[in-house]
Amino acid sequence: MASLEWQVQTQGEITLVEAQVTSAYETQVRLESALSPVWAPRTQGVPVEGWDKTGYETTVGRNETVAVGFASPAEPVEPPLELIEQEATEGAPGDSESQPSSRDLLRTLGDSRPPRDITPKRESATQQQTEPVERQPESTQPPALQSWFDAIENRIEVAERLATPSDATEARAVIAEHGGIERIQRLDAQLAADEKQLSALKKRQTALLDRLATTDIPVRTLERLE
Amino acid sequence: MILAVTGGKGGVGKSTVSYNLGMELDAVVIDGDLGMADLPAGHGPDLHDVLAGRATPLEAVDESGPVALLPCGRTLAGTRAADPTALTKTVRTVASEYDRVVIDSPAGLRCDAGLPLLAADACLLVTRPTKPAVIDALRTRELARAIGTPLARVICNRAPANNDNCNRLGTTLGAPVTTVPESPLVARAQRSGQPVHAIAPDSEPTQAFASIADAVEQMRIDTATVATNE
Repeated sequence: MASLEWQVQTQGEITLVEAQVTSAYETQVRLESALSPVWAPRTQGVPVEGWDKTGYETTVGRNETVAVGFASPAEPVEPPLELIEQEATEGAPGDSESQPSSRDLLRTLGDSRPPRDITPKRESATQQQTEPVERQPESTQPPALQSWFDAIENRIEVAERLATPSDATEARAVIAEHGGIERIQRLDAQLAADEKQLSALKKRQTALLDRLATTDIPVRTLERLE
Repeated sequence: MILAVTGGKGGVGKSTVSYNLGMELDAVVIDGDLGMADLPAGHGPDLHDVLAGRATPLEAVDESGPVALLPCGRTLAGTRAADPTALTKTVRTVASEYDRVVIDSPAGLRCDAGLPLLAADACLLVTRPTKPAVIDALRTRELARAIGTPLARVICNRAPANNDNCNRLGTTLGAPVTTVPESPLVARAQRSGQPVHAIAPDSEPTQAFASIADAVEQMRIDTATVATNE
Protein backbone atom coordinates (compact mmCIF):
# COMPACT_ATOMS: atom_id res chain seq x y z
CA MET A 1 0.00 0.00 0.00
CA ALA A 2 1.21 3.49 -0.82
CA SER A 3 1.93 5.86 2.05
CA LEU A 4 1.80 9.63 2.23
CA GLU A 5 3.89 12.09 4.24
CA TRP A 6 3.41 15.82 4.18
CA GLN A 7 4.65 19.15 5.45
CA VAL A 8 2.62 22.35 5.51
CA GLN A 9 4.21 25.80 5.77
CA THR A 10 2.82 29.26 5.52
CA GLN A 11 4.60 32.09 3.78
CA GLY A 12 2.78 35.36 4.24
CA GLU A 13 -0.76 34.60 3.16
CA ILE A 14 0.26 31.61 1.06
CA THR A 15 0.14 28.01 2.24
CA LEU A 16 2.86 25.74 0.84
CA VAL A 17 2.30 21.98 0.85
CA GLU A 18 5.02 19.38 0.26
CA ALA A 19 4.22 15.69 0.05
CA GLN A 20 6.01 12.41 -0.58
CA VAL A 21 4.22 9.29 -1.76
CA THR A 22 6.06 5.99 -1.30
CA SER A 23 4.89 2.61 -2.50
CA ALA A 24 6.16 -0.95 -2.23
CA TYR A 25 4.64 -1.82 -5.62
CA GLU A 26 3.81 0.09 -8.79
CA THR A 27 0.54 1.92 -8.33
CA GLN A 28 -1.46 4.79 -9.69
CA VAL A 29 -2.32 7.39 -7.11
CA ARG A 30 -4.35 10.54 -6.86
CA LEU A 31 -3.62 13.26 -4.31
CA GLU A 32 -6.79 15.20 -3.62
CA SER A 33 -6.16 18.59 -2.07
CA ALA A 34 -8.11 19.76 0.96
CA LEU A 35 -7.09 23.31 0.10
CA SER A 36 -8.80 25.22 -2.65
CA PRO A 37 -7.81 26.70 -5.05
CA VAL A 38 -4.73 24.65 -5.89
CA TRP A 39 -1.84 26.61 -7.38
CA ALA A 40 -0.06 23.81 -9.24
CA PRO A 41 3.61 23.95 -10.22
CA ARG A 42 3.99 25.23 -13.76
CA THR A 43 6.32 24.68 -16.69
CA GLN A 44 6.33 27.37 -19.39
CA GLY A 45 3.30 28.85 -17.69
CA VAL A 46 1.22 25.66 -17.98
CA PRO A 47 0.44 23.36 -15.00
CA VAL A 48 2.83 20.40 -14.88
CA GLU A 49 1.35 17.22 -16.36
CA GLY A 50 -0.84 15.36 -13.88
CA TRP A 51 -2.14 18.45 -12.07
CA ASP A 52 -5.73 19.58 -12.32
CA LYS A 53 -7.90 22.01 -10.37
CA THR A 54 -8.21 19.84 -7.28
CA GLY A 55 -5.13 17.66 -7.16
CA TYR A 56 -2.47 15.55 -8.78
CA GLU A 57 -2.38 12.15 -10.43
CA THR A 58 0.71 10.09 -11.04
CA THR A 59 2.14 6.59 -11.11
CA VAL A 60 4.50 5.61 -8.31
CA GLY A 61 7.01 2.88 -9.23
CA ARG A 62 7.90 -0.10 -7.03
CA ASN A 63 9.90 1.03 -3.95
CA GLU A 64 9.94 4.57 -5.29
CA THR A 65 9.11 7.89 -3.74
CA VAL A 66 7.40 10.67 -5.64
CA ALA A 67 7.72 14.16 -4.18
CA VAL A 68 5.28 16.91 -5.09
CA GLY A 69 4.47 20.39 -3.88
CA PHE A 70 1.90 23.07 -4.49
CA ALA A 71 0.73 26.36 -3.08
CA SER A 72 -2.66 27.73 -2.16
CA PRO A 73 -3.99 31.02 -0.83
CA ALA A 74 -6.33 29.04 1.48
CA GLU A 75 -5.77 28.61 5.23
CA PRO A 76 -3.60 25.57 6.11
CA VAL A 77 -5.47 22.41 7.11
CA GLU A 78 -4.27 19.01 8.33
CA PRO A 79 -4.10 16.74 6.44
CA PRO A 80 -3.68 18.93 3.35
CA LEU A 81 -3.96 16.00 0.97
CA GLU A 82 -5.88 12.77 0.70
CA LEU A 83 -4.17 9.80 -0.95
CA ILE A 84 -6.42 7.77 -3.21
CA GLU A 85 -5.01 4.64 -4.82
CA GLN A 86 -6.44 3.85 -8.21
CA GLU A 87 -6.55 0.59 -10.09
CA ALA A 88 -4.12 0.61 -13.00
CA THR A 89 -5.98 0.80 -16.27
CA GLU A 90 -4.71 0.58 -19.80
CA GLY A 91 -4.72 3.79 -21.79
CA ALA A 92 -4.49 5.85 -18.63
CA PRO A 93 -3.67 9.56 -18.90
CA GLY A 94 -0.05 10.09 -19.83
CA ASP A 95 0.07 7.30 -22.40
CA SER A 96 2.38 8.44 -25.14
CA GLU A 97 0.40 6.73 -27.90
CA SER A 98 -2.39 9.30 -28.17
CA GLN A 99 -1.99 12.66 -29.91
CA PRO A 100 -0.72 15.35 -27.54
CA SER A 101 -2.91 18.26 -26.50
CA SER A 102 -2.12 21.92 -27.17
CA ARG A 103 -1.04 22.26 -23.56
CA ASP A 104 1.27 19.24 -23.84
CA LEU A 105 2.94 20.91 -26.81
CA LEU A 106 3.31 24.21 -25.01
CA ARG A 107 4.82 22.41 -22.03
CA THR A 108 7.27 20.39 -24.12
CA LEU A 109 8.24 22.82 -26.86
CA GLY A 110 8.18 25.97 -24.78
CA ASP A 111 6.24 29.21 -24.93
CA SER A 112 7.12 31.29 -27.97
CA ARG A 113 5.63 34.51 -26.66
CA PRO A 114 7.91 37.40 -25.71
CA PRO A 115 8.44 37.80 -21.94
CA ARG A 116 5.97 40.06 -20.15
CA ASP A 117 8.71 42.51 -19.08
CA ILE A 118 9.53 43.71 -22.60
CA THR A 119 5.93 44.25 -23.63
CA PRO A 120 5.48 48.00 -24.19
CA LYS A 121 3.12 49.57 -21.69
CA ARG A 122 -0.02 51.55 -22.48
CA GLU A 123 0.24 50.91 -26.21
CA SER A 124 -2.22 48.18 -26.89
CA ALA A 125 -5.93 48.26 -26.49
CA THR A 126 -5.74 45.23 -24.18
CA GLN A 127 -3.58 46.95 -21.66
CA GLN A 128 -5.75 50.01 -21.59
CA GLN A 129 -8.76 47.83 -20.97
CA THR A 130 -7.08 45.88 -18.18
CA GLU A 131 -5.88 49.04 -16.39
CA PRO A 132 -7.38 48.93 -12.86
CA VAL A 133 -10.55 50.99 -12.69
CA GLU A 134 -9.74 52.53 -9.30
CA ARG A 135 -6.81 54.41 -10.83
CA GLN A 136 -9.09 56.65 -12.83
CA PRO A 137 -10.25 58.96 -10.02
CA GLU A 138 -6.62 59.94 -9.45
CA SER A 139 -6.81 62.26 -12.40
CA THR A 140 -9.21 64.48 -10.40
CA GLN A 141 -6.52 65.09 -7.77
CA PRO A 142 -4.34 68.21 -7.95
CA PRO A 143 -1.17 67.35 -9.94
CA ALA A 144 1.20 68.04 -7.01
CA LEU A 145 -0.78 65.75 -4.73
CA GLN A 146 -0.97 63.07 -7.40
CA SER A 147 2.79 62.97 -7.97
CA TRP A 148 3.33 62.88 -4.18
CA PHE A 149 0.93 59.91 -3.91
CA ASP A 150 2.68 58.22 -6.86
CA ALA A 151 6.06 58.62 -5.18
CA ILE A 152 4.74 57.09 -1.94
CA GLU A 153 3.13 54.26 -3.89
CA ASN A 154 6.44 53.49 -5.61
CA ARG A 155 8.26 53.44 -2.26
CA ILE A 156 5.62 51.09 -0.80
CA GLU A 157 5.98 48.77 -3.79
CA VAL A 158 9.75 48.57 -3.24
CA ALA A 159 9.16 47.94 0.47
CA GLU A 160 6.69 45.15 -0.33
CA ARG A 161 9.24 43.47 -2.55
CA LEU A 162 11.80 43.75 0.25
CA ALA A 163 9.41 42.17 2.72
CA THR A 164 9.01 38.86 0.88
CA PRO A 165 12.45 37.08 0.71
CA SER A 166 12.19 33.53 2.07
CA ASP A 167 15.81 32.90 3.06
CA ALA A 168 19.13 34.61 3.71
CA THR A 169 20.47 34.13 0.16
CA GLU A 170 17.41 35.70 -1.37
CA ALA A 171 17.50 38.53 1.17
CA ARG A 172 21.14 39.29 0.29
CA ALA A 173 20.24 39.35 -3.41
CA VAL A 174 17.38 41.76 -2.69
CA ILE A 175 19.67 44.07 -0.67
CA ALA A 176 22.24 44.13 -3.50
CA GLU A 177 19.51 44.79 -6.03
CA HIS A 178 18.32 47.86 -4.09
CA GLY A 179 21.73 49.49 -3.76
CA GLY A 180 22.91 48.36 -0.33
CA ILE A 181 21.65 48.46 3.21
CA GLU A 182 22.13 52.26 3.60
CA ARG A 183 19.64 52.99 0.84
CA ILE A 184 17.18 50.54 2.39
CA GLN A 185 17.61 52.27 5.77
CA ARG A 186 16.94 55.63 4.13
CA LEU A 187 13.84 54.15 2.46
CA ASP A 188 12.64 52.88 5.83
CA ALA A 189 13.05 56.34 7.39
CA GLN A 190 11.29 57.94 4.43
CA LEU A 191 8.39 55.49 4.75
CA ALA A 192 8.04 56.37 8.45
CA ALA A 193 7.88 60.05 7.47
CA ASP A 194 5.37 59.19 4.73
CA GLU A 195 3.19 57.45 7.28
CA LYS A 196 3.22 60.52 9.57
CA GLN A 197 2.43 62.87 6.70
CA LEU A 198 -0.37 60.62 5.45
CA SER A 199 -2.04 60.42 8.86
CA ALA A 200 -1.68 64.18 9.31
CA LEU A 201 -3.27 64.58 5.90
CA LYS A 202 -6.06 62.24 6.90
CA LYS A 203 -6.80 64.30 10.03
CA ARG A 204 -6.77 67.52 8.05
CA GLN A 205 -8.94 65.95 5.36
CA THR A 206 -11.51 64.72 7.93
CA ALA A 207 -11.59 68.14 9.63
CA LEU A 208 -12.04 69.92 6.29
CA LEU A 209 -14.78 67.53 5.21
CA ASP A 210 -16.63 68.09 8.53
CA ARG A 211 -16.39 71.86 8.13
CA LEU A 212 -17.47 71.59 4.51
CA ALA A 213 -20.54 69.57 5.51
CA THR A 214 -21.69 72.28 7.93
CA THR A 215 -20.87 75.24 5.69
CA ASP A 216 -23.38 76.52 3.19
CA ILE A 217 -23.05 79.77 1.23
CA PRO A 218 -26.43 81.54 1.10
CA VAL A 219 -25.93 82.31 -2.62
CA ARG A 220 -29.54 83.22 -3.32
CA THR A 221 -29.77 85.62 -0.34
CA LEU A 222 -26.52 87.28 -1.38
CA GLU A 223 -27.77 87.57 -4.98
CA ARG A 224 -30.87 89.36 -3.79
CA LEU A 225 -28.84 91.77 -1.63
CA GLU A 226 -26.58 92.81 -4.48
CA MET B 1 -9.16 20.00 -44.90
CA ILE B 2 -6.58 21.77 -42.78
CA LEU B 3 -3.01 21.99 -44.06
CA ALA B 4 -0.02 23.34 -42.16
CA VAL B 5 2.74 24.81 -44.32
CA THR B 6 5.90 24.43 -42.29
CA GLY B 7 9.63 24.10 -42.79
CA GLY B 8 11.75 24.93 -39.76
CA LYS B 9 14.03 27.49 -41.37
CA GLY B 10 13.01 31.10 -41.88
CA GLY B 11 13.07 32.64 -45.34
CA VAL B 12 12.52 29.42 -47.34
CA GLY B 13 9.17 30.65 -48.68
CA LYS B 14 6.55 29.25 -46.30
CA SER B 15 4.38 32.38 -46.53
CA THR B 16 4.70 32.56 -50.32
CA VAL B 17 3.75 28.90 -50.69
CA SER B 18 0.85 29.29 -48.22
CA TYR B 19 -0.57 32.30 -50.01
CA ASN B 20 -0.30 30.81 -53.49
CA LEU B 21 -1.64 27.46 -52.33
CA GLY B 22 -4.54 29.29 -50.71
CA MET B 23 -5.31 30.72 -54.16
CA GLU B 24 -5.13 27.33 -55.92
CA LEU B 25 -7.18 25.52 -53.27
CA ASP B 26 -9.64 28.37 -52.73
CA ALA B 27 -8.78 28.12 -49.04
CA VAL B 28 -8.56 30.57 -46.15
CA VAL B 29 -4.91 31.25 -45.32
CA ILE B 30 -4.27 31.76 -41.60
CA ASP B 31 -1.08 33.69 -40.84
CA GLY B 32 0.08 31.57 -37.91
CA ASP B 33 3.37 33.41 -37.41
CA LEU B 34 2.32 34.99 -34.12
CA GLY B 35 5.61 36.77 -33.51
CA MET B 36 6.73 37.82 -36.98
CA ALA B 37 3.84 37.83 -39.40
CA ASP B 38 4.61 38.16 -43.13
CA LEU B 39 1.31 37.98 -44.97
CA PRO B 40 -0.59 41.23 -45.66
CA ALA B 41 -2.24 42.77 -42.59
CA GLY B 42 -5.83 43.93 -42.81
CA HIS B 43 -7.60 46.72 -40.97
CA GLY B 44 -10.01 44.54 -39.03
CA PRO B 45 -9.48 42.12 -36.15
CA ASP B 46 -6.56 39.72 -36.52
CA LEU B 47 -5.35 36.40 -35.12
CA HIS B 48 -3.93 38.09 -32.00
CA ASP B 49 -7.40 39.42 -31.24
CA VAL B 50 -8.94 35.99 -31.81
CA LEU B 51 -6.41 34.18 -29.61
CA ALA B 52 -6.86 36.79 -26.88
CA GLY B 53 -10.65 36.32 -26.99
CA ARG B 54 -11.38 39.80 -28.36
CA ALA B 55 -12.79 38.64 -31.72
CA THR B 56 -14.35 35.49 -33.14
CA PRO B 57 -12.36 33.49 -35.73
CA LEU B 58 -14.92 34.11 -38.48
CA GLU B 59 -15.09 37.87 -38.10
CA ALA B 60 -11.32 38.03 -38.44
CA VAL B 61 -11.33 36.36 -41.88
CA ASP B 62 -10.72 39.04 -44.50
CA GLU B 63 -12.29 38.14 -47.84
CA SER B 64 -11.54 41.45 -49.57
CA GLY B 65 -8.28 40.34 -51.23
CA PRO B 66 -7.63 37.77 -53.96
CA VAL B 67 -7.11 35.11 -51.25
CA ALA B 68 -9.27 34.91 -48.09
CA LEU B 69 -6.91 35.63 -45.22
CA LEU B 70 -6.96 35.55 -41.44
CA PRO B 71 -4.11 38.03 -40.87
CA CYS B 72 -1.91 38.24 -37.80
CA GLY B 73 -1.11 41.30 -35.70
CA ARG B 74 2.36 42.82 -35.59
CA THR B 75 2.71 44.11 -32.03
CA LEU B 76 4.70 42.62 -29.16
CA ALA B 77 1.83 43.34 -26.79
CA GLY B 78 -0.53 41.47 -29.13
CA THR B 79 1.82 38.48 -29.30
CA ARG B 80 2.09 38.46 -25.53
CA ALA B 81 -1.67 38.65 -24.98
CA ALA B 82 -2.50 35.89 -27.50
CA ASP B 83 -3.02 32.41 -26.05
CA PRO B 84 -1.26 30.07 -28.54
CA THR B 85 -3.18 27.02 -27.29
CA ALA B 86 -6.41 28.57 -28.62
CA LEU B 87 -5.11 28.09 -32.19
CA THR B 88 -6.50 24.56 -32.64
CA LYS B 89 -10.04 25.62 -31.84
CA THR B 90 -9.73 28.75 -33.99
CA VAL B 91 -8.52 26.76 -37.00
CA ARG B 92 -11.33 24.22 -36.62
CA THR B 93 -13.93 26.96 -36.44
CA VAL B 94 -12.62 28.50 -39.66
CA ALA B 95 -12.50 25.06 -41.33
CA SER B 96 -16.10 24.32 -40.31
CA GLU B 97 -17.22 27.41 -42.22
CA TYR B 98 -14.78 27.58 -45.15
CA ASP B 99 -13.86 23.87 -45.41
CA ARG B 100 -10.31 24.48 -46.63
CA VAL B 101 -7.68 26.09 -44.46
CA VAL B 102 -3.95 26.61 -45.01
CA ILE B 103 -1.92 27.63 -41.94
CA ASP B 104 1.30 29.54 -42.57
CA SER B 105 3.52 28.30 -39.72
CA PRO B 106 6.43 30.20 -38.18
CA ALA B 107 10.06 29.09 -38.31
CA GLY B 108 11.63 27.24 -35.40
CA LEU B 109 10.56 24.34 -33.22
CA ARG B 110 8.77 26.01 -30.35
CA CYS B 111 5.11 25.65 -29.54
CA ASP B 112 4.02 28.20 -32.15
CA ALA B 113 5.52 25.89 -34.81
CA GLY B 114 4.08 22.76 -33.19
CA LEU B 115 0.50 23.97 -32.68
CA PRO B 116 -0.31 24.44 -36.41
CA LEU B 117 0.86 20.85 -36.93
CA LEU B 118 -1.44 19.70 -34.15
CA ALA B 119 -4.36 21.57 -35.67
CA ALA B 120 -3.75 20.28 -39.23
CA ASP B 121 -4.85 17.11 -41.02
CA ALA B 122 -1.57 17.06 -42.93
CA CYS B 123 1.49 19.22 -43.45
CA LEU B 124 3.58 20.48 -46.34
CA LEU B 125 7.28 20.91 -45.74
CA VAL B 126 8.87 23.85 -47.56
CA THR B 127 12.63 23.82 -47.99
CA ARG B 128 15.36 25.01 -50.31
CA PRO B 129 18.10 22.93 -51.92
CA THR B 130 20.65 24.14 -49.35
CA LYS B 131 22.16 22.27 -46.41
CA PRO B 132 20.88 24.53 -43.57
CA ALA B 133 17.35 24.49 -44.99
CA VAL B 134 17.32 20.70 -45.36
CA ILE B 135 18.66 20.17 -41.82
CA ASP B 136 15.85 22.34 -40.40
CA ALA B 137 13.31 20.55 -42.62
CA LEU B 138 14.46 17.23 -41.14
CA ARG B 139 13.95 18.55 -37.61
CA THR B 140 10.47 19.76 -38.50
CA ARG B 141 9.73 16.37 -40.10
CA GLU B 142 10.60 14.75 -36.77
CA LEU B 143 8.35 17.21 -34.92
CA ALA B 144 5.45 16.42 -37.26
CA ARG B 145 6.07 12.71 -36.74
CA ALA B 146 6.07 13.12 -32.94
CA ILE B 147 2.82 15.08 -33.07
CA GLY B 148 1.32 12.55 -35.47
CA THR B 149 0.68 14.84 -38.44
CA PRO B 150 1.18 13.13 -41.82
CA LEU B 151 3.51 14.79 -44.32
CA ALA B 152 1.62 15.33 -47.58
CA ARG B 153 4.39 16.74 -49.71
CA VAL B 154 7.80 18.33 -49.73
CA ILE B 155 8.15 21.61 -51.63
CA CYS B 156 11.63 22.39 -52.87
CA ASN B 157 11.33 26.13 -53.33
CA ARG B 158 13.27 28.42 -55.65
CA ALA B 159 15.19 25.53 -57.12
CA PRO B 160 16.73 24.99 -60.56
CA ALA B 161 14.93 22.40 -62.74
CA ASN B 162 15.98 18.75 -62.20
CA ASN B 163 18.08 19.67 -59.21
CA ASP B 164 19.64 16.52 -57.71
CA ASN B 165 19.34 17.81 -54.16
CA CYS B 166 15.59 18.36 -54.64
CA ASN B 167 15.15 14.87 -56.08
CA ARG B 168 16.97 13.28 -53.14
CA LEU B 169 14.80 15.16 -50.62
CA GLY B 170 11.91 12.81 -51.29
CA THR B 171 13.88 9.83 -49.97
CA THR B 172 15.33 11.79 -47.06
CA LEU B 173 12.05 13.23 -45.85
CA GLY B 174 9.76 10.42 -46.92
CA ALA B 175 7.25 12.21 -49.16
CA PRO B 176 6.89 13.15 -52.84
CA VAL B 177 8.62 16.37 -53.87
CA THR B 178 7.32 19.25 -55.98
CA THR B 179 9.84 21.79 -57.21
CA VAL B 180 8.84 25.45 -57.46
CA PRO B 181 11.30 27.16 -59.82
CA GLU B 182 13.10 30.39 -58.97
CA SER B 183 11.19 33.17 -60.71
CA PRO B 184 11.04 36.97 -60.45
CA LEU B 185 7.29 36.68 -61.10
CA VAL B 186 6.69 35.15 -57.67
CA ALA B 187 8.63 37.90 -55.93
CA ARG B 188 6.84 40.60 -57.95
CA ALA B 189 3.42 39.12 -57.16
CA GLN B 190 4.27 38.83 -53.46
CA ARG B 191 5.41 42.47 -53.34
CA SER B 192 2.06 43.63 -54.69
CA GLY B 193 0.12 41.36 -52.32
CA GLN B 194 -1.07 39.07 -55.13
CA PRO B 195 -0.73 35.36 -55.74
CA VAL B 196 1.40 34.62 -58.81
CA HIS B 197 -1.70 33.16 -60.50
CA ALA B 198 -3.19 36.68 -60.62
CA ILE B 199 -0.32 38.22 -62.58
CA ALA B 200 0.94 35.22 -64.61
CA PRO B 201 -1.65 32.42 -64.79
CA ASP B 202 0.33 30.31 -67.27
CA SER B 203 3.76 30.70 -65.70
CA GLU B 204 5.85 27.81 -64.40
CA PRO B 205 5.47 28.76 -60.72
CA THR B 206 1.68 28.96 -61.09
CA GLN B 207 1.70 25.45 -62.61
CA ALA B 208 3.87 24.21 -59.76
CA PHE B 209 1.46 25.59 -57.13
CA ALA B 210 -1.48 24.13 -59.05
CA SER B 211 0.19 20.70 -59.10
CA ILE B 212 0.75 20.88 -55.33
CA ALA B 213 -2.94 21.73 -54.90
CA ASP B 214 -3.92 18.75 -57.10
CA ALA B 215 -1.69 16.42 -55.11
CA VAL B 216 -3.18 17.68 -51.87
CA GLU B 217 -6.72 17.16 -53.18
CA GLN B 218 -5.73 13.56 -53.81
CA MET B 219 -4.28 13.37 -50.31
CA ARG B 220 -7.55 14.69 -48.97
CA ILE B 221 -9.35 11.61 -50.32
CA ASP B 222 -6.73 9.43 -48.64
CA THR B 223 -7.10 11.21 -45.32
CA ALA B 224 -10.88 10.89 -45.48
CA THR B 225 -10.60 7.13 -46.24
CA VAL B 226 -8.27 6.58 -43.30
CA ALA B 227 -10.61 8.49 -41.02
CA THR B 228 -13.60 6.38 -42.13
CA ASN B 229 -11.70 3.13 -41.65
CA GLU B 230 -10.81 4.09 -38.12
